[in-house]
Amino acid sequence: MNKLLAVVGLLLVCATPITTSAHELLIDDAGVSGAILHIDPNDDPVAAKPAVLYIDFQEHQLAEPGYAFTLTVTDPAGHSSSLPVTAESGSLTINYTFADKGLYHFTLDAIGRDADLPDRHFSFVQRIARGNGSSLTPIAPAWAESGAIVAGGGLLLLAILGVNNRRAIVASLQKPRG
Amino acid sequence: MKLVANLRFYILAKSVLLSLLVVSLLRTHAGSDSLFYLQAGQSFGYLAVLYLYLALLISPLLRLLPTTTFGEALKFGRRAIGVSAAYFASLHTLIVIGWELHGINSLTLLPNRFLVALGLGGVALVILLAQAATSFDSAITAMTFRRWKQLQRLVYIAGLAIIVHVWMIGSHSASTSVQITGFILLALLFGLEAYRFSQNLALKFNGLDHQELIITLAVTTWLVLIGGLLALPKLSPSLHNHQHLERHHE
Repeated sequence: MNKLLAVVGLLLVCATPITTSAHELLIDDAGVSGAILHIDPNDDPVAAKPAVLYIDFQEHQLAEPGYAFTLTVTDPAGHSSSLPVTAESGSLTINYTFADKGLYHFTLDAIGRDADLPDRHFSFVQRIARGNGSSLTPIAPAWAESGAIVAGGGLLLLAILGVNNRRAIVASLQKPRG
Repeated sequence: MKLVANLRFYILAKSVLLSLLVVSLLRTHAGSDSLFYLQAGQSFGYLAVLYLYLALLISPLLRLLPTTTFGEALKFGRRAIGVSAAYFASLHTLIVIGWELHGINSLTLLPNRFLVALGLGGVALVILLAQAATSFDSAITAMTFRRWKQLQRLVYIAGLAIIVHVWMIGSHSASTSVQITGFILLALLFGLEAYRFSQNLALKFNGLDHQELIITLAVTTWLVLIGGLLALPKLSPSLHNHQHLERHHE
C-alpha cells in the first residue's frame, strides 16, 4: 500500500493548472515605439465594475510633462468619449468602467508640446467578456473541446497504466543504475 | 527497462498531456485571443516555476528523510521533473515571444525593465534547456560525471534569475498573499539547501565535523539568503508593486 501511494503520489504531483494574467505589447502606428498595457483586474475586466489601465512606455519621456495625451474610447454601441489620464514615472494610469460586454476600441494620442518631441499614436482593442450585458459570440475553436477531452482522457489512461504497472515501477527503482 | 515500468515516462507524458489540457481549457474559457495567449503564457511560466521548485527541493529534502520507496521514486523522478520544467519554460517563452510580443523583433520596443526581466528569463531558459539536453545516462557518460554535475549546479543561477524575473514582471507579484506564500516556500528551500551546504562543507573539512558547527553554519547561510530575498524589492523594481502603490495613493 505504501509503495502504491508512493507511485500514485508522485504521478499526481502538481497536476493543477493555474489561471493568471499578464501584459500586452502595444506598438505605435509608425512602428517605432512600444508600450506595455496591463489592466487590473487580471487583464480581464468585468463589465460594470471599475478597471484600471496601466500603460508603461518604452520611451520614458512620453510620460513626462512635454507631452499632452488624448485617450478616446469607442464602446460597442459606437459612442466615443475622452478619458482622463494620469502620467507618472514613465507610465499612464487610466481609471475606466466598461459599461457592457463587447469590443472597446481605444486610441491614444501623445502629442509633443515641442517640435523636437515626436508625436506617438497607439490604438488597441479590449474585449470584455465577463459581467452583465448582451452575450458575445463564443470564440473558442472546435479543437479546444476535443483537446480537453483527449488530454483529460490521456491523463486518466496514464494513471490507470501507472497503477497497473506499480509493481514493475517500484521494482525498477530498486535496481542498481548509473 | 520497459517504458511502462519507467517512472520518468509517466512524469514526462503527464507534462505533455497537462500542457494540452491547459491550452484547451484556456482556449475554451478565454474571452479573447489576446487573453488566451496572456493566460497560456503565464500558466506555463508558473508550471515551469513549480516543477523547478520541486526538482530543487528533492535533493535537500531526501538528505533529511530516511530512505523510503517514495524517496527513491522522488530521486529517480527528479530528472524528469527538471526536463518538464524546461519543457514548460520553453512553452512559456514561445507563447510570450511569438504571440504576446508579436515576434522577436518587438523586443526592441519594450520598456527597459521588461528587457531586463526577459533577459533574466532567457538566461534561466538556456540553463534549463542545457540540463534537459544532457539529462540522459549516455550524455553523462560522454560529458563525465564531474562536468555534468557542474552543469547541474548552474540551476541555482537559473533559480535566482527566475525569482527576479517573476518579481519584476509577474502579474501576481504585487499580491500580498502571493508574496507571503512565495517567501515561505523559498525560505523552506533556502533552509534545506543551507543545511545540505553546511553538511557538505563539514564532510570536506574535518575540523567542521561537529553538529553545533553545522547548524550554526546552516542558520548563518539561511539568514544571508533570506536577507537577499528581503532586499529584492529594494534592488529591483516590480512593475505591479509600483502600479498598485500608485493606485493606493489615489
